[in-house]
Amino acid sequence: MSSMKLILVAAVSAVALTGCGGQNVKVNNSKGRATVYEDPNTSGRVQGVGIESQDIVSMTDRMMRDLLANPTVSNRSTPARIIIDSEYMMNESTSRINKNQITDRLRVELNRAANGRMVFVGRQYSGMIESERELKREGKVDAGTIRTTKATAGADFRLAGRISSLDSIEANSGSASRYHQVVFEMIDLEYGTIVWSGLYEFKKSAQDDIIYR
Amino acid sequence: MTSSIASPLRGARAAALPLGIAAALAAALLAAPLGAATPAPLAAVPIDIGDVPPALNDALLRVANEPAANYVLNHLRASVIALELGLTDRSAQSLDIALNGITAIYADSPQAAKARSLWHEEGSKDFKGEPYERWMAFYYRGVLDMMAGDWDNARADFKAGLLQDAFAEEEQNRADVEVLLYLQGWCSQMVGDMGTAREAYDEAKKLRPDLVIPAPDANVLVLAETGYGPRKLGDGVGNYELVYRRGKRFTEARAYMQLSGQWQPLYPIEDVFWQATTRGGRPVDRVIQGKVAFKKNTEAVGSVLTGLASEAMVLQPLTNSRSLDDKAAIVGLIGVAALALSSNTKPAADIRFWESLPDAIHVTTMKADAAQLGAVPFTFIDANNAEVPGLAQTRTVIADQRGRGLLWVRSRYAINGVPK
Repeated sequence: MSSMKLILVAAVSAVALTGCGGQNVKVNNSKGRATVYEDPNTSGRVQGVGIESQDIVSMTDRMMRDLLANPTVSNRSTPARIIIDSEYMMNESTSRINKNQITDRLRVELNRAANGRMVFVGRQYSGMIESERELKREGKVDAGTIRTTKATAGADFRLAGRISSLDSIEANSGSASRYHQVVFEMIDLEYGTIVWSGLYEFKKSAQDDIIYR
Repeated sequence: MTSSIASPLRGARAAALPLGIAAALAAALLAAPLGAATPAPLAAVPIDIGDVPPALNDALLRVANEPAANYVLNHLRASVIALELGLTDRSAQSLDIALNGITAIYADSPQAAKARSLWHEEGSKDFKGEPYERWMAFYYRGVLDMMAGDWDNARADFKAGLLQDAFAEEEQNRADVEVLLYLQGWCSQMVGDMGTAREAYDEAKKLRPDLVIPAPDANVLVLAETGYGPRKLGDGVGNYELVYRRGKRFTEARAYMQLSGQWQPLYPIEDVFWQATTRGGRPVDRVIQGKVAFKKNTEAVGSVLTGLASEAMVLQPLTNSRSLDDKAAIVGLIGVAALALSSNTKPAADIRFWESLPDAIHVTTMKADAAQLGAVPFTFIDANNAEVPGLAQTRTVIADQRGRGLLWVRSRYAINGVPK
């Protein structure tokens, strides 16, 4: 092959390679991903070291079983009236969370499983209840079909608790770990004693890619 | 990077091979950059743009239209604009999406692997921001939570933000964001947890001994943001070095508020630019330095080989050697391949940045009846104590049912455009 041909090949190669490789395409032309249902008991596609759906499901399931096994709360001759809401659930952790997700799931699951052994007071709906009662008392609406009571239900017990965390960071390796401790306690609303306590704890650790450290 | 740098040199030994094999080898060497694909996007959460003001509409259109790698960054931009417009729900929506991206762990991620490769700039990675941008994202989420009266989650935001500053190279600069410590204390105080509040204030005072701790009966927090935030620039060969510059086109340095006819200064608690610049070196800088070394070495090898080939071809008529002519051509081809490798190496650092951040944050607290405060006048002064014209404004307290309030003000608003 003559040197002229070789030089020509080299030149063409250089031009072609530089031309092809020099473009930085800035168009989002991904095909996308169809919606899929994911099991809330499992880790999702996007994960961190915070509280995730599987943690909420696991902790509320365990607390529900524990509470149902507690005779003081769940096996009284007259079913105990209980308030389960997030009013006295404190979040002192590093993880942002909607506390209602924990207390709502716990209340719903307990209510279903208790089958009348516990009665749940909807204190978070008190505004709605009071306005309807007022309409009834004023005669603007009739009394309904259930019954009329002097007052709404007072509660025997109320859920309180605390979410706390302990973080550790390893600056050199970019490793992070977070230990969560979630405390649930049922408070006797007359006597102030704690009639049941439950603890759920978990720890997660991860190491981010070097390009994000 | 030694083994990578050796690749084109190994190719030089192929000079004795037939021309076709050498050409195929060169082509194979270059197959990687040619085969590069567009980065895979983050799982995008559809957003309903709906009927929103033009500034926010533009920001949300950027979310929809720009490359997926900018998804988090564009949501951060949109969140600040929405917050400025008083659209706190929309701001929270964007911030939550952005924080999902920021807190996601990238392990075995093909997207991250591409950003590390020779053939892609660092800027091709999904944006998570540098630590100062990440903690500012948590700061704004905390501001929104305080506006909503969700003090627990606001405190969690400020704590989580502080962790983002824990990766600084120099130990004394780790987790030293005074404003986040102060706000942690404030949130604890607002929920009556004075013990935890005192701990946070004590931490903040270690960093800023002149910091004034809020009075126990204070119920209104004032947060003022001044100037424009840090800018990122590329420096060095191929812009491989990430450098920070203070924001430009602003002169205000202090914030004042008027109460009962008296102008009162706010305490300048945080210098965002200082936080950006004291992070120290990033681990990824070493990866980028490897790319630079590869680029320089392949360029040097390519230049030498093409130079040699050129000289040999010039001498060929004198020697009348057919063999010399062929070898020179092969060396030249490999030299060109090395130069092509060099030109395809992308060592540029990621200089995308969140433009709508402030330069500094100022605070004060007070005991006041939020309902009676009304519109509170603010003004801003420069380093010579001269009022900066055009920045004076009034803001009203956003308070919860128990009268715990927040006054949030900025000297410069992103909705008016920020300098790039």
